[in-house]
Amino acid sequence: MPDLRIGLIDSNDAVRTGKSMVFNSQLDMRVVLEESDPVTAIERASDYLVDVLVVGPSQHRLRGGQFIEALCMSLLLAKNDGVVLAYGPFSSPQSRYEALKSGAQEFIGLDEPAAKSLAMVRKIVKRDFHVPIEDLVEFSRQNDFGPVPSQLEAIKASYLENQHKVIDLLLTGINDQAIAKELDMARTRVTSQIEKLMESCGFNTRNRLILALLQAAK
Amino acid sequence: MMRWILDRNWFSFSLFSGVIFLFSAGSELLNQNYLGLVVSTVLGCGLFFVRKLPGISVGSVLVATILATTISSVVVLSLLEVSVIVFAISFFADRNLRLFAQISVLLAAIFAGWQMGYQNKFVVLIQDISSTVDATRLNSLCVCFALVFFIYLASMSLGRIVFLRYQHVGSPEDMAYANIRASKLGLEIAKQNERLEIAKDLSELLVQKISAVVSVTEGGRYAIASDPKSAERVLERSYDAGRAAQAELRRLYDYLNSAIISDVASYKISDLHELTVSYRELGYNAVLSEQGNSFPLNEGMELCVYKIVFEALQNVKKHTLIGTEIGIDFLWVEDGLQILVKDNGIEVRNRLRQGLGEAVDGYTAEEDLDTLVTEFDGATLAALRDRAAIYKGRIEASKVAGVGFTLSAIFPDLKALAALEV
Repeated sequence: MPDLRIGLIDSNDAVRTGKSMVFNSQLDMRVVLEESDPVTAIERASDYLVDVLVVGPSQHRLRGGQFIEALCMSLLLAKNDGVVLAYGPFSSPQSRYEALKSGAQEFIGLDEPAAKSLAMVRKIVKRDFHVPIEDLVEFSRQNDFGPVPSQLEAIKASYLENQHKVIDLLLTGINDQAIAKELDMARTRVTSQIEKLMESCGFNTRNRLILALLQAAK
Repeated sequence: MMRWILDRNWFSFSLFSGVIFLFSAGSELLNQNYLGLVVSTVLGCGLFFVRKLPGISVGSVLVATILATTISSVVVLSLLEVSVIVFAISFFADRNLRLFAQISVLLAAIFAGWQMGYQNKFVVLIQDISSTVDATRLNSLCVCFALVFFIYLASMSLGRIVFLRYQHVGSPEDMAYANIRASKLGLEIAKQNERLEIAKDLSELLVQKISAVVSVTEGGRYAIASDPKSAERVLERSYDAGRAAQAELRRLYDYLNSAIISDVASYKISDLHELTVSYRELGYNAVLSEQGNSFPLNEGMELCVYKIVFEALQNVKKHTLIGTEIGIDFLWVEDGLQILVKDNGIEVRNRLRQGLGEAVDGYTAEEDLDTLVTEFDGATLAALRDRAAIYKGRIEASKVAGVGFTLSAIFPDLKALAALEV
């Protein structure tokens, strides 16, 4: 089984040590980066070829979504496929939405058991991962995602009927395999089309793409 | 006036009812109408009970009007005295009693109209003639009813207007009290807000520390399962994290239980003008003056200065009589500031004693000695000294024999401190 390379970013040493012990105790995971300074983390994260960056809430100078957004942007510019798992002291829908909107793949509270974060790390590295569609719909209903990138509408306008169906099926929450089966096409084509759309709009996660699509449909 | 009345339970209305009784009785006796003393008694009782038992006063309006129009020799004067009772009822009585009072007033006006108009008394009174023509008698009834009813109604309305003004608008004096109270509450709220903010920061730190404990112990469970040798290291880290969380919790505990907390800088020196005006409204001759070139202070310093002057003024209000002169002087020097709050409370008190016939001769040698040796202290002064010490300031309170008190706050290095912190 290939190793999952984990990066830990938290200015609280004790929390980082605890997390490190949890991940290093797993056979398929290895902590390759530990960083306490957020600014250094933004500069160095993309060099480490991490699969998952586990990012804590206590970031000196950069608070909340601001840090996650900068980190994701740095990974995106370096064409690094690493994803961000954000965590906070407590799990709450608002913290989760803020993290997802900023570019995190998922959010978890420190009040939840470590087993859940281990399972989540394994889940979020999948290419077609996004949080359950019902959750995204609810977030979109309660919050304003902000301006939708103009490229999104332009690209959608140039789509053929089959490509539109991919988007429609993505919004139903099914995975790429199921979309491919439904439309009788190759899974890689489905994945490729969605990823191209994400890249054109500057989104690093499917969560952000779906939130933007839901916002555009409002 | 209303405050004076309301501050005294029985005395104020005993006094008023006594005056009304004596005035009414005197008028009746001048006309040798001894029966008229009954009217005077009813009027006196009506006013006497108006505050504590207004039901009696409501009844007395009708009874007094009937008696005034039948047995009194000074009808109009008696009716005007009844209207004083009506005024007081409408000020003090509750809603239901006021309704009864309105009915009582209506019945009283009808009776007065009948008695004075239809029975020709009013016409006799004014024209010294009597009419037997029914239409004239009816007209007289209407005129008398309208006049009495108008007077009573005007008294009632005036009572409500005075009540509304007293209760909801307030006199300048009330507003001055409200201003001072608002300033006090403002300081308290500012203090609590600041306290809350600090507690919020501390609890945030505490959450982090507790999260660290949970994280380390949970990580330790996983680490020990895969490598039992790591147990000692895990326990050590857990212990450290636990101790750090406990220390943070202790800080929060100490903070929430401490009484000395710095205030937020919500008041500035410029707010003292308003406070001075409030004291003038209260009857103190407060004057604020500044000498020298002022320099900018930070928020904490501004609040410190405001608080010193505020407490000094409170002290003057507590210990001196109305009419006392208060001087609030700001002396800005090159590097610092001196604040002087002076009053002539002793002088004012002595003048009053002299006015009352006491032999007061300036001040005695004992008082002079007392001025030199007495050191003033107290909780408020101690708190002010602590507050001033933050900015390297000192506070001195002294008594000027035969004149009053002076509170002096000196901040010799305020400019340098302000430059560091602004």
